[in-house]
Amino acid sequence: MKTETWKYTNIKKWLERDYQTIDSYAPIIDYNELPEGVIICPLADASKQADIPSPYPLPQALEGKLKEQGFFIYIPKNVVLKNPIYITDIAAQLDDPTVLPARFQILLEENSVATIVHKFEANDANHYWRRQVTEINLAPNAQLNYYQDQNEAPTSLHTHYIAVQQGRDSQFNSFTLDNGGGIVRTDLHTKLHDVNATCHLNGLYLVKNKQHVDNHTIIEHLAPHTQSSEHYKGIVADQARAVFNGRIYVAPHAQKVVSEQHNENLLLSKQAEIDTKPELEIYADDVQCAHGATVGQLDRDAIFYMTTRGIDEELAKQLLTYGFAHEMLNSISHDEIRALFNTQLLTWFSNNQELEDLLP
Amino acid sequence: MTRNASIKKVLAQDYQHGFVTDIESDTFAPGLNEDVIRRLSAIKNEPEFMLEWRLKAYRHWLLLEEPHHWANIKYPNIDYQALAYYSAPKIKKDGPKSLDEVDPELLRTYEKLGIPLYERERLAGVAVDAVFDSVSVATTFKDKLAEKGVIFCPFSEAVHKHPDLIKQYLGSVVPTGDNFFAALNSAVFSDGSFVYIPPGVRCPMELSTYFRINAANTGQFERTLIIADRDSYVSYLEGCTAPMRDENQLHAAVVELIALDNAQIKYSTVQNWYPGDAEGKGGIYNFVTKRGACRGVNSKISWTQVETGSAITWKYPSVILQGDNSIGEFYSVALTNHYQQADTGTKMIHIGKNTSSTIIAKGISAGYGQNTYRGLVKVMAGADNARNYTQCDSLLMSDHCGAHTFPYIEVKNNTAQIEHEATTSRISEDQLFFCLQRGLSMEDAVSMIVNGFCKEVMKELPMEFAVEAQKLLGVSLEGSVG
Amino acid sequence: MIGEKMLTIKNLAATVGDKIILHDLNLTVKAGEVHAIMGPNGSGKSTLGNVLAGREGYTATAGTVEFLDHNLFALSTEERARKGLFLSFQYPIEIPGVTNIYFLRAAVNAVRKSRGDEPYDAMDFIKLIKEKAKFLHMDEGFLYRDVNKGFSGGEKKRNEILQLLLLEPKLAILDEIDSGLDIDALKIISDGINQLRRSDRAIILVTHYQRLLDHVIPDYVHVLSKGKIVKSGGPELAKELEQTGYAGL
Repeated sequence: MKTETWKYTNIKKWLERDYQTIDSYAPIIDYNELPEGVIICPLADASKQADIPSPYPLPQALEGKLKEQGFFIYIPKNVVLKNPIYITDIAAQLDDPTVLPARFQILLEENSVATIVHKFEANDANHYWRRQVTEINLAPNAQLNYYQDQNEAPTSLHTHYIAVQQGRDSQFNSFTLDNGGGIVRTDLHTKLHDVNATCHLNGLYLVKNKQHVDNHTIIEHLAPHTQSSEHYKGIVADQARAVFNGRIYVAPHAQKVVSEQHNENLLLSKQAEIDTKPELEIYADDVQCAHGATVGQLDRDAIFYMTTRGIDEELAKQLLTYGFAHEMLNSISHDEIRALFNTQLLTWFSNNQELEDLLP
Repeated sequence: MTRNASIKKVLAQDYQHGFVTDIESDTFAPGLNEDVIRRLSAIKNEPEFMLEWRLKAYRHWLLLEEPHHWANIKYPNIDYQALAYYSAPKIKKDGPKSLDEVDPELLRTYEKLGIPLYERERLAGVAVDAVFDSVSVATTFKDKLAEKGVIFCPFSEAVHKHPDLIKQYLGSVVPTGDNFFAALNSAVFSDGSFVYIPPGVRCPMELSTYFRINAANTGQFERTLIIADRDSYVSYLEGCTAPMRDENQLHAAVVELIALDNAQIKYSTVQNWYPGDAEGKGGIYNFVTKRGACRGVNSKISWTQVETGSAITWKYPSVILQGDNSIGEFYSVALTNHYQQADTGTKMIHIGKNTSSTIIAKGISAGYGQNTYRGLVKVMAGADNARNYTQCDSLLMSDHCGAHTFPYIEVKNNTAQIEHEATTSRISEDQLFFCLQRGLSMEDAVSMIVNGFCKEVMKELPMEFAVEAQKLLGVSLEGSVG
Repeated sequence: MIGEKMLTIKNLAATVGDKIILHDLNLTVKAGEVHAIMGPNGSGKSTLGNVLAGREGYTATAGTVEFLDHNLFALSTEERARKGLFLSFQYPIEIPGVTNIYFLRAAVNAVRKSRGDEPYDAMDFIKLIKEKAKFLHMDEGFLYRDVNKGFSGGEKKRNEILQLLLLEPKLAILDEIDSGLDIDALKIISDGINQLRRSDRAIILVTHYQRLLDHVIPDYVHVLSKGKIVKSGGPELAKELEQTGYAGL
């Protein structure tokens, strides 16, 4: 565990626990007007078997006992889904330490387009470890918009490994909203295998109390003329800690790659901590890559300006904080999903009524 | 000439300092154990406290692992028992009293390197300590400096003449057990430079140390300690060269800087150890720990480095910003050509209040070179109002090279303002075409663009070094106009 | 002198990547003349300048071009520049870290050296450049800024004309030198170009708009369409195009 990738996140306590496992796995999968040929079925019924193992360490107590369950989503060639598929995973009525291992396999065939929203929630559940794996394969010219709304219980451990394989001209757009969880670790790993594959990874982490949220992303440019952009923003309050590690890798001969990465952080309290590490690892010469990271606070002048106009200081701070975060939501093109994420964002503010009244 | 041929021509200057000095040396047989350290300490007639210090470091070193796992460098395992840990040119018993007693062959060596040791031939503004393999062979302008109370002498002399300063400060910035190479250095370092600037003194000239590795199969382990007392200022330069040999050679130095209240230290390096040949054979393994402590309020430490040599460079000149309002700076140009590898950068540790740091790092990768920037900006909980600005740019000049940027930013204080920016790009076709269209040759165009790329760092170098550094980069001197 | 052959293009075809942009293009320019090449977007106007200047990726696949007494295509990009061919850039390139004055002196001296002239020393050069800068209403401060970095569109264009005045080429190809300029800047730049009109020099203005030609009156106007000159005439042709547009061609 004492490796570079776990430098800032410690799950030792979770590896020493004893766990119970549950037999049934039944996320709510919601959609309408599915065109013909689209398949959504339990993994056990699908012919394709899991091929990417979970990269997270396994508690000793669970060795040999872990049974992954999950679903298979298949979008056939030339099919364009009009409406998003909503997956809601609720950890409900769990007392003792429980492990919830689950896997989604998502396959988009040529020229298909889909939008998937994966929501993680908790209801009367405490010490559970959600071990999620999502495998995504995009055939040439396929496009997937993948949204995660992570709202786990504050005493839980959430680990999610997302592995994306992208073919020629394919596009992967993701947005990760971290609003809940005790310890959260997401590894989003995209591989751009063929020319003109593009990914846009965006995220917003809202971290408070004693939460620990760690976003690790890797974008591998394995072919020439591939593009990527990445933008994560974070707000860290109270005694919370956030970690961002974004790695851009450009393989030898992957020429004409364009890649840009930004990570911006707002620290709201004395005890809050942010550890950010944007990385560029480049083995080709004809590339344009840039990254930037900032850590800062709310603009004092802006707060002062607002208070001189009679706005209460606390509200002024909240408005500025909201503005900082809300900017990220503009990258979500789907209105309904943007509204959903905005609602989540508002829940993060304690007296959101006053704030909400002010917002359009 | 084509673009690639021009780039090669600009970069592929022959190594100018690859000759070997034929001189009789006292060299230890290869191998390292406590007896070797005792012998080394005995030869230097060191007081007991130094021997104890060395042995403690050695015992700790045995427990440490080489930092293979995180640095972005590849090299075969070093057999530490196959190296000799001491080599000194044979001299009369008590060492030379004046330059007239120094072996003429040595003087010629330094002349060939462009560092004449006779004061009358030196640039008036620079005092030099010349370190040859394991020992200091000459220090110039000592008397003139002594008038101001400035101490500038070989480390081995300081151990005898200024034991209190050594006891107080040695290892206070880089502890013996800090890392694998620092521990090794602490155990076996043979010489180096010692500088003390007394309170209120602005050092009247640039101080410099010129390091030369000559002997084969010998490691060079030097130690530099610079103390700038209250309200003082010093600018220190360091230069390095070595002969061309087919075997890799180890250089593991430690540099410690201490700046007390209102003191400023400016430390500049032009590192031109033998980089190995075009096929990657030979060259120096340069594993160096450099760290400064801004202990006093309003103190400032500034590192500037131009790294063009060595087969492998592993160094992170750092600043611990303890004093309130202290300032740390790091300016770096690292060039890797052929099969050179560099993993270099800095650490800025903000501890005091209102501290600020600036990092400007420029990496140029050519041939099969791999160039990594690795930096840490750490803001501790009590470091209110810390500021950091970091800019890292990489220029790629061939399709086999690599440029990597690994910045670590750790912030535990919500009044910090941290900004990091990095870019990686190729030398641009448009820029080259534009220059050619205005009549410049491809070579001049490449030189000009590379020079422009490094300018922010080059302007931080003292004049005496800027010229040498420009030459090293194969770049004509810009700014000669106007 | 007047009437001497400067540039002779015969049956030129050129490609960019695998696209054919120019074909069967003929043009003769003599010393002392000003030619305007007009045409809609995508007609190949900029390509012509880039092919003549020798930009990588712009390949002549057929035809010949004679520049003074030389086979143009036998010369490298910098040799063409040193023999007096100047191309202004539609989007002048930024060179970070390299000050304008240093760049200009390096270029001027490279060209002078190739002609066998003494290079300028720093003092003489500063005198010369200040005089030219003043003529173009350029603030001296901008000589010490990095080449084109942070320059406004108008400043970049003025910087191109400054280089033109300093390099004193035989043949100046000015590619959209008027685009993005307000009327005051356009006048300043036109004055600069008019100052360059000489019996032993030729100028080719490449432009989309007629308005530049009100200030710099050309001797000949050519219309380029789909990679080929489809019509030639006197300055009145430009006025005609202003009325009818390119659509009728």
